[in-house]
Amino acid sequence: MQEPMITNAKSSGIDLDRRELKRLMRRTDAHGLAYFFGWLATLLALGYDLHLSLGTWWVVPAMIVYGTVLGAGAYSISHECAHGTPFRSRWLNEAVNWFTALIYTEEPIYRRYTHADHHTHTWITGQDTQMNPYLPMTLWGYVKELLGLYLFVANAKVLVRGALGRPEVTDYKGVPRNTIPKSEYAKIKWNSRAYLAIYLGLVVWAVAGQTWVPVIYVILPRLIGNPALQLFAIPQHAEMQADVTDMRLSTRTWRTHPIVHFFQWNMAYHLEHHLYPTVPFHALPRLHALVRDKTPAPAPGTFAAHAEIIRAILRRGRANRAAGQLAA
Amino acid sequence: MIRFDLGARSFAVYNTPSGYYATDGFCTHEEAHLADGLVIDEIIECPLHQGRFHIPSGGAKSPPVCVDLKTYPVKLEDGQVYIRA
Repeated sequence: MQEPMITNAKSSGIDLDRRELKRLMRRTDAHGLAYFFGWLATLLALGYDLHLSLGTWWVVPAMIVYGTVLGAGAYSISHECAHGTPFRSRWLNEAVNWFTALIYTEEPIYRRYTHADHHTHTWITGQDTQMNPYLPMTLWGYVKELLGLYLFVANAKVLVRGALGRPEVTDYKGVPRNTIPKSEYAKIKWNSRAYLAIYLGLVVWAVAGQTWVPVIYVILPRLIGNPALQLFAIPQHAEMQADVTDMRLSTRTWRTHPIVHFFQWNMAYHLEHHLYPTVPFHALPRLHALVRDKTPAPAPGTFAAHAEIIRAILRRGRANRAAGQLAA
Repeated sequence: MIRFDLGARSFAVYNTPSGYYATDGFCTHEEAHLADGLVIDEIIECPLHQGRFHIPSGGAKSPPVCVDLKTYPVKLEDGQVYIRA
């Protein structure tokens, strides 16, 4: 069995001054509340816009934008809350976590443990339980990942197993991992059952109430929001080097629009986040400034990062075909 | 909060609003030193995965930590902190 490969700031050759780091780690409730209510207010406005567009073709772009903010926002906020860093008050953190994880469709305790695993063994094959299952990625694998359906199905399976009291973790290749202690199974079971009951409740509301409201404002947008969510998630590690302890090689930071930074809670500073996950999201730009001379230049943008990913996939495809021809 | 090493053993020593405390230095989840973490009131948060412990009791408060931290009696005498380890 492979020796565990541990990934952290030290293994990545970064060693910030401790006092500087402590300053960055400071917690408040204000930042998290401002971003959270900003997200909610935007959803309300976009939801109203969606309502006005019903019965016209404008409903299509309206639902795409609404679903993007809903899904990508829920993913980013629940990710930060899984770390416990966006709020100083724990009850606030856990309440926002539960709510946004419900929208993102991943049970929060399960996520906390598997995400800790991901941070400990970032992009290490067989050790990172959140590693992409389609490695090495093909073009079709990239498209499937972008559509986000795999993730949706994977999250659904985790919820069902959790609800049955069997949230055992395997990596994406199906290899079991001892990631979650059995003492947590009961809590995961009841969270999972609550989430599934709420999802079922939405369907019952639609059918029994003979109304499209839950479909238009929750179910459809959440599904439609998946590709947008993945658009901002894929560049984090895709086509970066696997099986190295230096996260400067396995993790990407990329530039993006301030509006995207706002709804993504600065997740595009992904290398910085992995180097020091205790630094709350709002301090990541400052952390980036402190480590920029020791880390690779950020990718120029989200689409540039995806172009880089697609070029790498195509290059590998050509190399594999050439190797196949040589062998023949 | 400071780190204190004695031979092969490592401790974290805290100065909180309710007094001085000492615990094992390493998180019970993975091997990260708590002295690099964050103290919020009477909670210590591990720098690696943000698991939290209650400093006076060592109680594990949030995943991914679930095993309590060992604590040690502390006394303050003439401006010096003594730990019974």
